[in-house]
Amino acid sequence: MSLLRLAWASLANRRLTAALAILAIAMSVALLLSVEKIRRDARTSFTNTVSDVDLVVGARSGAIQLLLYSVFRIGDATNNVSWQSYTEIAARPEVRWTIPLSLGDSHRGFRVLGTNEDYFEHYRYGEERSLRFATGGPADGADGADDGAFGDLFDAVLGSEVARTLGYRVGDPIVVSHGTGRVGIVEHDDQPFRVSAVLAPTGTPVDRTVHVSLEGIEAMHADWRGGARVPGQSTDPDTLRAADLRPRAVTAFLLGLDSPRAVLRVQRAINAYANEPLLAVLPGVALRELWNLVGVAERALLIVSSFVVVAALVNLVSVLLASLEERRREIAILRASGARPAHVFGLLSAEAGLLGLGGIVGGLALHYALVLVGGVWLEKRFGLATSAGPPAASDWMVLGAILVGAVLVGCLPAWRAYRHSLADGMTVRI
Amino acid sequence: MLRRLLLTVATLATVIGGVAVLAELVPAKNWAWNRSASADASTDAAPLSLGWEDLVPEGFEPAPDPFATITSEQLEKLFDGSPESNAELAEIETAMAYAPVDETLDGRLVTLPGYVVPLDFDGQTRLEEFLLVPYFGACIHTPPPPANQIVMAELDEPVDIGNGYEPVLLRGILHAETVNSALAEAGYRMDVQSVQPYELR
Repeated sequence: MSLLRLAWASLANRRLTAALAILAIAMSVALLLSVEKIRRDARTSFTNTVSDVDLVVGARSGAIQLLLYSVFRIGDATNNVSWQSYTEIAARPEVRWTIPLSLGDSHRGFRVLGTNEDYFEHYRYGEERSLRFATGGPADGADGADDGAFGDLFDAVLGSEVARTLGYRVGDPIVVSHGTGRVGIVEHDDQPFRVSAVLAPTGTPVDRTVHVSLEGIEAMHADWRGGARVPGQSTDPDTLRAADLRPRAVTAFLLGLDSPRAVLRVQRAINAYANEPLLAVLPGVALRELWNLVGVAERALLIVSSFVVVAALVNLVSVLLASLEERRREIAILRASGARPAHVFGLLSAEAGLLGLGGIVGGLALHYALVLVGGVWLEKRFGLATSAGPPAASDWMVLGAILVGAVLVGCLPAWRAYRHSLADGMTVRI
Repeated sequence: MLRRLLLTVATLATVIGGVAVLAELVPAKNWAWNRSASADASTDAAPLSLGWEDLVPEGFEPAPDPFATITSEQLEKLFDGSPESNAELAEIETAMAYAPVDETLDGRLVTLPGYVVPLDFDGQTRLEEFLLVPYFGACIHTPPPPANQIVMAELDEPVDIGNGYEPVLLRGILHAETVNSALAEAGYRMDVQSVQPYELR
């Protein structure tokens, strides 16, 4: 016990050097922990975004691309799915429900999604949770299944993040822009929407989406021909409410089957659909492909972080070694006070261990500071939900390994000090 | 001198070994999952080791390929998009999908190797149920296996199934059932007792 106290006093005497060594270890520990946390949270966040969907169907592109733009609102579609194909596939006997998705517009950087009531009824996320309305919504309140969230043609249902960031409330007008860029230069300002409801937070890209009806999307583009608005033409909203606005196409749709075993057969039938080039993917399989792709980068990051930890430990050794020369007299005094050479060895090892421990504690603190600050940015930029919880079991093992490593590398200066104390005895010839 | 050198080398070796341990933070190669032993005390009998051809009932012949002996005019008529042709195509699809199960395997304890098609990940990227299929790439662009070559695997709790692209060996009670009578949907289901990596011996 007194050895530790002695080690502590010794380090306190060389505060600056010790603090720098601790800082180096702390930064490397924080880097390692944060990299691991982001890796885990990204996976959890992605897999929590959608659950219980058997197939995602869209125009023929690539599995990961389809999953990303349809479910995660990252990237853009290459083509649409005609309404006829959609209804034909939805009418297959194996299909229990579908949710159509129509993308391509945005509002101040948030994506606008055209869909219908099936979205609020069938969409599941996380551990099979359904969407709930926080304010507004159908007359009966809690779930969106009965009365309809899109009562009026120009109703818009906001995700919680959209409402919070832009300060919208039920009843506010909202003008949608064309395209998915962050700044909407071309707007559909002749057909403004009205916020009819705000969803409860989900921790998924749903929070960052403005939902409107499929007919609303068609209404917005009533005055558009060939990719641009017809100059001077501006159809009045009331005229549009009375018009037939059956959608001609959707961007993608999600579907759920009666029996999951049929999923491969239905997927094949859709992929081979003769009337249009379509692609059906299993979300689980596409996600797995995504992880494998990203896994290489993750592993590289992990190895780099590990090397940074090693570098910090090497720095620890050099700090202790460098101090040995000037401590020869101090060690001689210790010997004169009754310390055996083994005690000297133990003292240096304890110092290394204390520095390692200090680095780990500092690293944890730094890691949490990073998580708190960076988490907000990650959520805004990517919709990635990070949680500031205690370190995972694997993290504790890593921290333990670093502590053991610090003590082990401390053996080198400890050994040198041991030899010095043997050679010098109780007097020192400088 | 020599002792000092040896000590330095030993320390460096420890440090490098530590790095290797740290870098191995990815899921260990030797994952395996076994259901808690209490439920399986009664089924200590040796499991039946199955191959995928054992899942097809004896004497079953798959329907002959209707496109093998078709003339080009018939082919054109079949794909002309008219309601009668589409109905005929649907009938062909149903007939080719007919793949009965072997009832004698119902309730048997078996082992079966295969590949995993994930159905739904839980929050920690673990699987509680998945499809077991005989070969990979079945899920992407080749014709899918028929209904009697797909096993719906059900586990008691969400499990991490390695990296997902490696074959696994399942052990559990196989159930052969006909689910949706309208579609004559038959298939296999397994209550999984253990999952482990599989290597061809």
